Amino acid sequence: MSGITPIKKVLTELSKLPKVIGVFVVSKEGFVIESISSREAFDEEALAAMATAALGSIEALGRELDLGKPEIATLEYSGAIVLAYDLGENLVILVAEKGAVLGRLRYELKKNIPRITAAL
Amino acid sequence: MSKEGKFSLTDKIEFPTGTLNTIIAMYQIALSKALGSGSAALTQLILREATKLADEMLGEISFESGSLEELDKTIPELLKILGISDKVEVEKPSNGDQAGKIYVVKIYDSVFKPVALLLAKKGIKFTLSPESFIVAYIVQKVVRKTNPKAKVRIDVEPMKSADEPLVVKVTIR
Repeated sequence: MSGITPIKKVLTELSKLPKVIGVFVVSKEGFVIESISSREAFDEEALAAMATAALGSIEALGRELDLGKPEIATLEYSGAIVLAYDLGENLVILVAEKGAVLGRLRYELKKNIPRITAAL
Repeated sequence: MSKEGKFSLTDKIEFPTGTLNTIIAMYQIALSKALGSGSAALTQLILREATKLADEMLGEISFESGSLEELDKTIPELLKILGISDKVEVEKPSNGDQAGKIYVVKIYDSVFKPVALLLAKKGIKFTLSPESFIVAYIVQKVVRKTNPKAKVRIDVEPMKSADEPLVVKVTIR
């Protein structure tokens, strides 16, 4: 693909993992910075705002209990898996179907975080 | 009298602003504690969800949002009508519907100023600032007339003293 940005390239690779529905980089102000999604009906703006709020809540829990900062949040819903990785001012969110291999998703996401950070 | 479940600008009761400000401050403190850095993201959700309510309220008084060029007049006028502040200054950029352009709105003696001061002392960001939502709402509404996909980002500067205005910056994205 010509003209593809480095960040889009990494997200595209992650989105090709089995059962991945979408990968998003969002700012903690609730804006979508970059995204790749196979589900057209995804409300990306809502996802950005809600995922940021959810991770903020998890961060607040860690602070209250003196557990340190969250690195990666794993949310298992009846219909999907959501991983959220804290990049400081931004978040990476990966959404996959329920049957996806969670360990692989976590491994691939963590492995690609330096590339995502470098590309931002 | 308001109809059940409807807000109206004609609803008026004697209500101490101290009570209102205490409630807003409590919500903001709790929200910041519960959501931490994530509380800023709710600004976008509120802007999105509250637009219809704001449209209905302003439709009631036939408020005209006007054009980009008129924003330095419509923003002060709206904040005055809503009883929030009598003195507002707007610095508007040229080509104000383009991404990256910043509107700087200085709100003097806002009724919510005590909340802004209290939160600044506690080091809490005023993400629920009613003034900022009204300003962002009207800027977004006007900008979208020429740039339908435009979004806005709101920054409320922490108030350092009661002598200063509350400064709200609205950036077009």
